[in-house]
Amino acid sequence: MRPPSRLAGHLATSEWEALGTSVVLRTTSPDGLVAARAAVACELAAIDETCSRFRTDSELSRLNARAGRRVKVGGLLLAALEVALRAAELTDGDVDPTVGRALELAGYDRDWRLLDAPAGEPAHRAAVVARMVSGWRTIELDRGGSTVLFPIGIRLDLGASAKAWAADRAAAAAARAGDCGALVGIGGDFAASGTPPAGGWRIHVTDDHRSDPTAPGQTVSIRSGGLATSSTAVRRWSHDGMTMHHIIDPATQAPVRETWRTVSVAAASCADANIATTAALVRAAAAPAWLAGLGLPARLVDRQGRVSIIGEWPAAASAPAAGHDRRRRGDRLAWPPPPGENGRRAHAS
Amino acid sequence: MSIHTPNARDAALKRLSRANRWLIAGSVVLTGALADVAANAFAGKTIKSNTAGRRGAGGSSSGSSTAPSKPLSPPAQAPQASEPNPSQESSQQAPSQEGQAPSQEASPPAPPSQESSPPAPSQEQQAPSQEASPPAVSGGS
Repeated sequence: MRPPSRLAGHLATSEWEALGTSVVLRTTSPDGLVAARAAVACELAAIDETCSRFRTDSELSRLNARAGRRVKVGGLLLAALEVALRAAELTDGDVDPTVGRALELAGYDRDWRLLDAPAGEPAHRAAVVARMVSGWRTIELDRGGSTVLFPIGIRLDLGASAKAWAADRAAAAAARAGDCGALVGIGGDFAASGTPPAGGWRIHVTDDHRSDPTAPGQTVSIRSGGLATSSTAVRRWSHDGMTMHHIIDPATQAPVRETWRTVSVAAASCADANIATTAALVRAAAAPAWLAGLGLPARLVDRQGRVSIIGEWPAAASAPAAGHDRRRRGDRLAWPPPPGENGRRAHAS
Repeated sequence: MSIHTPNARDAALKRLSRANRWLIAGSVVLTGALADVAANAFAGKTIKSNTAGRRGAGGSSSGSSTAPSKPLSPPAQAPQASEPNPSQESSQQAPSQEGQAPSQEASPPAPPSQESSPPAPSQEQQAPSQEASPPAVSGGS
């Protein structure tokens, strides 16, 4: 087991559990680590108390219990809801905070580590009951009055946006408190703030954020903003004899079909990166063109492990093997690929 | 057999008329109440203009504003390729597709060339290198 706090090279690192997942904090100054960690812990505790769907005493749970009535909410929940609605709006509803009921119907009604191990065929069937009453456009958010109203039957879930948003807030708080550069990762989604170390913050992208840095994937470095990875290969469980995962397609109210196994995106913030990765999994074959149109550097891995690289995402540092990353090292390709790259075009269409 | 006087008939008609009025008013109120409940219970409800839900594509998250939301933004600087492990690359002769077992042959990280000569203390303070530290791991959660 890793020690709770240590120095790695010239960077100080601290790791612990929060928000039902792992938290990584790195600072450029060992002297700033203690203050930075305190700031991050404080930020995450506040967000957990506010946005957790699994805590009966959270403000979100109290809000969900009062569906159909206009409810006054605190500033933090209001901000989290704004982030969630922005995500829904920018993705045309592919990232929708009203899928809470669908997640419950899929069996995800408690911390996923308490759910049954995955078994059986992947499920893609729609939960009709949930679909009848879902849709982010049914949410009335009155910022001036700090009130929220949404229909009876809807249960809000902020899991698709709140963790990445928390990483952004925590990284900024850590950099301020520690007076140093800070990198905060929550469940594998990273936000950077302050002056980065020389060479940037090194991050290895792979299927599971709890993997070792030598797991199959790619190591990149970022200097600011955020980098997020979403995957259908993790957080899976068994329900009614079928395998479920946590990425819900709002159109079907069922787990998304696995066109892409893992998607990583770098963006100006961790929240933006996470919105893009989640929406890319939902958009399936349309994702590469969508990401390229937004100018977001991205790396997509399909079910067979084939990698597609979008925009300014760097080529793998190691020489690519056949069927792995088919781009030549140093190439910069926009999506769609030019004629002649049949392999890449074929598997994305 | 009872005999109805005109007065009794008029009084009965008045009572009937009053009851009718109450019934009509009651049904109107009940219809309104049911419509309100239904409007809040089912999707497709028309949303007030000062609410976030009606912003449409590019709308603002501010309840009273119609300014478009800030679009998803690329990073100020694109991510750069980085060696996962300086000595690991040489041991990976033919990397397989992702998802297969990772190579176990990777040797411990070799010290980067920068560290063979001690860096100036001021440089180390300003821009610490993280060559010796393993990368953080980003993945699904």
